[in-house]
Amino acid sequence: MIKAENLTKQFDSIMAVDHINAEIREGCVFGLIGTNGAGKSTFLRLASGILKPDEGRITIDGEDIFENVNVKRRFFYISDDQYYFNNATPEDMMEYYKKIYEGFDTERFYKLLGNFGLEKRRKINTFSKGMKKQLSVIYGICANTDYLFCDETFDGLDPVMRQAVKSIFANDMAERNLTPIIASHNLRELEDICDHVGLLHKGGILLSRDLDDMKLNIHKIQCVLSEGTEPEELRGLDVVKVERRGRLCTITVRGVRDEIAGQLEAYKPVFYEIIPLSLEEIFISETEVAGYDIKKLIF
Amino acid sequence: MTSKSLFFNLMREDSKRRLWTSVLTFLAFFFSIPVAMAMMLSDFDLASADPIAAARAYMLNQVKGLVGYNNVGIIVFIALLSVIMGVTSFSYLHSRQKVDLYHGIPVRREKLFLANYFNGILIPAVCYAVNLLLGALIAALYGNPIGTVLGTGAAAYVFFMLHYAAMYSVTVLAMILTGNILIGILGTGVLHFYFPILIAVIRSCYSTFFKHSYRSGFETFNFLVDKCSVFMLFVSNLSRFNSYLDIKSEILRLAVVLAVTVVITALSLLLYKKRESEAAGKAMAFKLSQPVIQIPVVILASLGGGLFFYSMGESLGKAIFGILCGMLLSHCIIEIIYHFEFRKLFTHKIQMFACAAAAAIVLSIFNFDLVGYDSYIPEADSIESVAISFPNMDTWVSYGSIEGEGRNLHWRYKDKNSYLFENVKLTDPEPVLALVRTAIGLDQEVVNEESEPKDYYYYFNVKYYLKNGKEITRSYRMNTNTEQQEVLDLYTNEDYLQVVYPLYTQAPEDTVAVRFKQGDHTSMISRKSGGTGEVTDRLLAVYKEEFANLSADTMKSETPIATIQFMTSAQENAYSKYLEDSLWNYGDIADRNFYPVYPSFTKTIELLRDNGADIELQPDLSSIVELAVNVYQFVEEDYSIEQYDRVYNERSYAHNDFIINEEEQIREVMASAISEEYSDMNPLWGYEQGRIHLQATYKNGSRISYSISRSEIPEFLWQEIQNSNR
Repeated sequence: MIKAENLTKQFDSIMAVDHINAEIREGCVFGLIGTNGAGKSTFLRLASGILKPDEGRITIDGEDIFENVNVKRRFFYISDDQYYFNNATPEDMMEYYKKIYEGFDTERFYKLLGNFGLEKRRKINTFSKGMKKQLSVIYGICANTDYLFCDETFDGLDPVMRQAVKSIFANDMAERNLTPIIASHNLRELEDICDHVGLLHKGGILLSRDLDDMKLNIHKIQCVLSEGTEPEELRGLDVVKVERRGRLCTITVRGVRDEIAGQLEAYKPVFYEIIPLSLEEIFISETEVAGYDIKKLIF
Repeated sequence: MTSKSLFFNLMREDSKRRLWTSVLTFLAFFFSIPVAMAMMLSDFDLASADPIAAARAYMLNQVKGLVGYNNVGIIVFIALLSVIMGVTSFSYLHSRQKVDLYHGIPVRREKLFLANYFNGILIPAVCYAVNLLLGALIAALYGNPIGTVLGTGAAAYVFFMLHYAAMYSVTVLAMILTGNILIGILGTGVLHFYFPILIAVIRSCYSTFFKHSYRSGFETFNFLVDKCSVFMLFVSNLSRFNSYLDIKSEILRLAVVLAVTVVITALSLLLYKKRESEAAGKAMAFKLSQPVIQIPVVILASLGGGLFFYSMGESLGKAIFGILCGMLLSHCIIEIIYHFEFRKLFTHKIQMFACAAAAAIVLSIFNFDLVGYDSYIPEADSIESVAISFPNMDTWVSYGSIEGEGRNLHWRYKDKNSYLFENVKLTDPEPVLALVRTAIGLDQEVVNEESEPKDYYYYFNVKYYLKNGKEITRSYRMNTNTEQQEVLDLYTNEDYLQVVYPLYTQAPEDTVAVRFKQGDHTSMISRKSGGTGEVTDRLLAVYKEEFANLSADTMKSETPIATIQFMTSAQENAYSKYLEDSLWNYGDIADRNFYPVYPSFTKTIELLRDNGADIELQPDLSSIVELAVNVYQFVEEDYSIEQYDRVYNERSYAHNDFIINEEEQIREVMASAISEEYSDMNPLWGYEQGRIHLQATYKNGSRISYSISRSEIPEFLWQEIQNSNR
């Protein structure tokens, strides 16, 4: 498990990561979302031991990461702008990573390279941005580490490749308990892959939750209430937000579906329907509750 | 994967990425050694050489020069490669992209540092070694002994690679201290040249502001210069190793270079570990190092600016302007570099003005002599002993010793002032102090008169050995018109003379031959190996007696007429070798220390004549074919600038000599002429400025320079020269 405790990093006068506390469990996909400059890359660079925390600590299974080779062997870091040696080919870089990561799977590397349609002897500097991203994912996957840190890795991948990468992640999670940690500024990109999401803003973590928990514990009710009943009067319901369009109300409510239905039926509504929220909507609700306008933070 | 194999794997991967530097390095050494060797040896024509042994020896010498310390190509490339390899080894630190890769992988930073660091040394080491072997093989193909060539090459290899490692470590340190390649290279320059420049500026301050500094503190600064910069250490060692250093000193010097390399590398490693990855792209990697570099540079630039403008007109206003210029330029440029932003040029204003103030204080110390440097005269009772040296007198005496073996036999020169300072110990300081007081008073008079009168001066240097252990050196000047009894007394002071003239202490058993020289003619008078040992000993005894009894009055009235040399066995050995093999170093040893023979040395002259010397007390005027007088000696004194320009422009150089070939006229001119070569050997000869120099050509083709006083120029010569100048 990766654990950040009071993790802080400052660049001159800029507080890049501000006393973050977070936990990333093994075997799940952790999504790190936030706007540009929110501190996602800094968090990942701290997690990969590139940066040394100014305060607090970040550990993997209780061991500090910075300058700890044994711990660093357990992850592969794909930066937002991965560096490839000058004039190197995919094969050259593979040779390098093979020497660094003992468990590097050469066979799989060639197989994936073929699957993605990348030439092993073509110079990487002639690859497109998306091809370089694909290549970085291949190296990360083939390094066979426990964790894979991806900084904006999906940015630049076309939908087909994105799906392909997601399926590789899913496969490795199932087969060898891989834990991908994916930083992105695009919430929609993470929705169908993440188990747990952390929202960073101005160096601090606004929330960190399991997606399932969030999805099961918050719902949207579209309803027409009986004459004389106002949504604010619905006792027993943990109302987060109310929107009205004539008599049609859209109420965001915390709680499990059956309990919400039971509570609502007691008020004999003319009509009601309970709808699950999209990740985006959940975040909007959660962050608005926390006093932030999510639309300004992410979109 | 074991730690060791990972280290070598990292090195191998690093080599792959730096293939271009390997190729560049190989080519540099390839052209410097094998190609240069082949080109040089192909020009040798041994078949027609006579004697062939000498030609072979010469060829081997040239080959050794090429694989040894004299190869300019290696010298230049070693210095350049130390920067190129240092930059390429650690340039990744200056790119965030690259740092993310290298610091994100599971490799300890010190391992990464060491792999890259040693690769930067290994690449040139291998390229140099391979090309050295190739060069030696080519030399062997031309008949040179490969063992000798490889021996010389190996010694130079160790020398150059150690110095390369030291200079390379400096570049590495600069790269770690900075976060940008260009600034890293500039940083290397600062580390190599800051202190030498500082020393040069302080030396200039000494020579500009102090009248009595001894060689502008040259000894002190010279002592410091190779200790303050690795590059200067390389230059200094190169010069020392080229001038036949003994093996112990060579090993010691190389050990120092190795120690310096280890210290700088250890410091670099420590800083590498402390260096934060986010420093990539910044100007300076450590906040603390910003002022540490900026403040000394701004102070130096302000000081240099102040000194430069002051020297343009010796005005305080100009000095202040120079300080401000130096301060603004250096501070603003550094701030722009630090922030990568032009608008930040006046950041840290207080620091900027503090630096200028520091420079102003230093310049004030020199300009106003706030420490009393120039006026310093120690109390007589605080002096243990005092040494004095007249640098322009007795310049014909060589101080030093014979060193080396075989063909490397050479004269190890010892600076006259250093020699006298080490050996002259006058326990009565009063005469010297009196001389010093007169000199200081004279300088103050000149300052008060504002403009310096057109007088001529001679210089003397004094070293005070104080009772408290301090050693203080000063230099003074004295007007040639002022006769100083203290100077005359020194030339009868045996303690002083024994040091100034090493012959005083030369024992008969060390003296194996006597040579005599007058004009162009040199003859061997006696030689112990030739059975004339008794003559040698007698000549030595007689000459020493007459030389010791030479009074100041005699020296003021006579100039020498010939010279005599008492050869030591080492000198005679070199002389014999010179006759067989005309190597310049043999001749150089053999021709040192001919002593003057004054006309009053009657016993010496008689003994010389008895043993075959053909001595003429006066020049044989009948054998003089012509006298040549350069007319420009008259122009400067007697013409206006316009006339001078006209004469100068209208005459070609070839027509500047006025030729006298009438026997009577030659006799008239030569009546008051003295030999320039011999008069210079008399330290008390009242040399008159503005004497007219002329050259006599003898029937046998020899040419001897003479001079005559302007007051003694015959009337006909005045007339002729004035006519020829109009």
